[in-house]
Amino acid sequence: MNMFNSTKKGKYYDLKMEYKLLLKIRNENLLSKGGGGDQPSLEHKVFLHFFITQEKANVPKYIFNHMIWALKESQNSNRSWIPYGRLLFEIFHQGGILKAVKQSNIITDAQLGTMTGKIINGRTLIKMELIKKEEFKEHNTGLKESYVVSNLMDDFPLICRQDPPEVRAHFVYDHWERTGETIKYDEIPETMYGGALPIAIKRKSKKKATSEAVDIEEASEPKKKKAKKGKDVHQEQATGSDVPSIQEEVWDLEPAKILDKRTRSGKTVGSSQSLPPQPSISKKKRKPSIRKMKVSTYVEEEDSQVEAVTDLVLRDVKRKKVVDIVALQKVLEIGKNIEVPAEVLMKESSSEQAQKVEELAENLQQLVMASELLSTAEET
Amino acid sequence: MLNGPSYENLVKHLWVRAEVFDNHAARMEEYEKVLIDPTIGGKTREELGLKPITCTEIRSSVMGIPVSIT
Repeated sequence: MNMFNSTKKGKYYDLKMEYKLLLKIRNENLLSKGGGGDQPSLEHKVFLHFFITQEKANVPKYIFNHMIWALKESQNSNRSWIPYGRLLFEIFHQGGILKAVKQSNIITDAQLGTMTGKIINGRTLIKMELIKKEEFKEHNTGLKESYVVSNLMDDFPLICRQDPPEVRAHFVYDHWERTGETIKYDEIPETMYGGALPIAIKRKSKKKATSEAVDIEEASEPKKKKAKKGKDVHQEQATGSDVPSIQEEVWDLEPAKILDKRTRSGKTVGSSQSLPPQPSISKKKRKPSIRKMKVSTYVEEEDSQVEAVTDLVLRDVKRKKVVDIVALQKVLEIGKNIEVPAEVLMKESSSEQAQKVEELAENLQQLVMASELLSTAEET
Repeated sequence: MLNGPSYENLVKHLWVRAEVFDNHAARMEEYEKVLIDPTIGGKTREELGLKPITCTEIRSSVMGIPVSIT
């Protein structure tokens, strides 16, 4: 027996429908490969065989080796895509990086850029030509891509009540083993949504759909809930099925919105108007706009005061200039008057000096004559 | 469980800086150390001031925080 329906060399079209889907999931998530998935290699076939026969394999090792391969590919041959984004993100969460990012309170969700993965639903089955288009009927409880505007993933709710109970049980057990904390049933969020959405108008119908899904699920598992409710008497948060209360809480906690308010206050008013008109948000949004008005009037007053002061200063400076010019002219006139006696004085003083010099020269001549007479006398 | 957002920029930051640290890389690291200072040849990794190698790692950093996946 093999997983292919034929005894010849295994090909894609010989696979069963479930196996085809498993292969697709494996191709896209575990051992991601480019190109078509219709020609699985031996490694992929072995991997698929383990899945089908439920034989235990070291999947983390597979993932790690594949990660190393992808890393080398991206460095050597410019393959520009990253496998296991969600897994790496989980590593960030467990390593406390997300916590550090949140504490720094600088970076918003928008800067970090949120991404969601693909969803396999009926449409993908049609695309894979596993079912016919006429057979497909969309159900309103179908899985939708979740766009949480999160508070930087406070608790990083990996599970929600839409997950199958086995997944939830395993996760709770694993979490208890790792950290020693038990996750109560009420602490598990109902959906991955968790908070109000940036495109709330479009999502309103989907919210209803998810709440319906929760109701259905709750109806399907009433025993579990009752059993667990008995254990935890004191509950910090009354979650239940009232989604709006959670949304409001998350709205209050969102740092991105608060940061936006701060940044926008200095700039434009129009940006806040473009946001969806939710009743609870619009009230909050109006306040900063009023503040903006106050701020603007205050700034205007300040500006006018500054202008008045500068005018006064300018006038004073002009007056001083005029006074200075007049004073200079006066000084020049006085200087002209003074010049004449000064010249006279200079002349007088020079003539006196000349007379003195002449006298000195005469004395010198006399001295020279006397010395010459003395020298002649000595010679004789 | 898998349906939820993740911050792509953080992941990109990690991926850009990531490098595979295996036996070959460790040997190259030691070789470079010896090239810089030939007198330290023949010493162990701990003596050279390098981290001990236990298994193949992917070393990277996100926002200044060193991350190693083993």
